[in-house]
Amino acid sequence: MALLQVENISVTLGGVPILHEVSLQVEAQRIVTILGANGAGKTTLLRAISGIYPLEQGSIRFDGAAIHGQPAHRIVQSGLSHAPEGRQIFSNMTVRENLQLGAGAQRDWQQELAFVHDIFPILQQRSKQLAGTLSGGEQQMLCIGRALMAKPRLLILDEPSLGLAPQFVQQIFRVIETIRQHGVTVVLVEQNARLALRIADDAYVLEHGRIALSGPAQQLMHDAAVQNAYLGAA
Amino acid sequence: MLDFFDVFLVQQLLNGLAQGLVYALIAIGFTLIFGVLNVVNFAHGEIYMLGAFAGLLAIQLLAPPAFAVLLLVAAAGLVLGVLLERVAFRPFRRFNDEASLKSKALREATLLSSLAISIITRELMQLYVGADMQSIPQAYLLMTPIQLGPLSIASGQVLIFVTALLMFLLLQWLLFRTRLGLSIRAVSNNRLGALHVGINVNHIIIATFAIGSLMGAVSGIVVGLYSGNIFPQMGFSPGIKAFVAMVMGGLDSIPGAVISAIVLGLCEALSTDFVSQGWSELISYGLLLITLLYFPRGLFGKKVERV
Repeated sequence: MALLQVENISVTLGGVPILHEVSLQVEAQRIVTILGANGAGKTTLLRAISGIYPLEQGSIRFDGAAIHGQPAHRIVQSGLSHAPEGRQIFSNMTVRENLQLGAGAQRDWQQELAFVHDIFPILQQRSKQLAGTLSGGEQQMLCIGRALMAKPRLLILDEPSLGLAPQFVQQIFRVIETIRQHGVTVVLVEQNARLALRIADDAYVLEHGRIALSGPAQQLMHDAAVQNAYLGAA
Repeated sequence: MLDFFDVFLVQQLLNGLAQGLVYALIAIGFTLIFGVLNVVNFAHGEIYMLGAFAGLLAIQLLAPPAFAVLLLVAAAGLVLGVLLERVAFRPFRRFNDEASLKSKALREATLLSSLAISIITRELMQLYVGADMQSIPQAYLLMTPIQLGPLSIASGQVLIFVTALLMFLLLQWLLFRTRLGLSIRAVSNNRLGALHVGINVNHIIIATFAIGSLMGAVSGIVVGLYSGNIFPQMGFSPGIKAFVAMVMGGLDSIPGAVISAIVLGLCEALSTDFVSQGWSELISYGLLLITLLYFPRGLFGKKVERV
């Protein structure tokens, strides 16, 4: 059974329907990417999974248990972490405090902290600095690191490379691989479709709030429609 | 002659300090709640007033020792804070999307709902107990003069000083040394981020209202027993001054609000001394104006940060 099973969910925000009967499956220890144009509903889909937006219909099961309708903080505690769009880090607090908050109610988070410092050594150097003073790339690392502190089984990454310099983009993608090697399943939304498809096992294409295409990432990479729309005609 | 003047000046400064600490007591809770919701809680002055009345009620019914009065008022403040949040703030917090979190309309709606609660509470109290000052049993008044050489301070002024110091230190400890404080600061800094790290944002907001209102209510009874003035309108004017202090302090800085409140109190006392009573209001609002003109982020506000 899939680790995350989204079935026929619809989401309406402020009276505007955003998602229409979206279904997707994420198998354990895989990287799944969701592609789509701006406004296709990718972020809404991720936030619905995290319990931040309510569903109008449909169901979401994580590790067999229904999580739709549960408050966002419960869902994080059940092992589903979300590194959100726009990072949403705590800019007035130190890097260390940000990471501590990521650990939630766990009493002992030294092991997680060591893991995050291992992946992003710069965060250890910047430990006492206010998060708002970090560069964009460092803030993104903090955002991912904070999500990892919760010891997730599933990590949602929303636009991790947005606005970053090329060397940071490379580093973030290497880290996504590393995270998967540690047994964490990854759901990735990414503007850079080429990189995302290269790293992912499975891919979904979201258009106007509906799943337009899905399949193994390799297959989608060679799909004519995907190439035209998201990879630039080669 | 010179000696006399100096003693008089120091005495006025002491009175100004006490007055400033009264504003600071209110401003601490005010600023705490503002920090978490980014919305002015106009009903804070009424919590202060209700705290004073709750204390008075306890005194009239039970005649407990003064310390027990404080504890009862603290409990009442806690309950009032939870109620206030439920009635005036929670209904406007149904949505979690960025547009709603940043929506001016929702913010203004919350601001007005707290203003409405504030007016309704004040008028209802006036209807039930009348607009006059309440009589306070002599034994509870905190006006015993304490002689310090040529200076004289009231026991209430000492209590105000101790209460303000304790509240300030306790709050700093809570905010920077406890798990709850970490979560409060996180919600105050970035509510969406707080949702994403699994903080129960509603619980944190309720807790903040409970703590802030507890402080507001305790301030009310302490000031009421010191000044001898407990009446339904008592929260209004100091509430405005606390608001001024909060704005001068940079909106979300508790130490900034406390320092600004003390500066306000001192300036008022000195202007009463050197010019005349009528000038004190003019001077405090003049200070606010100057602060806003030359330090738009307040005297202790944050620097602009990188995004």
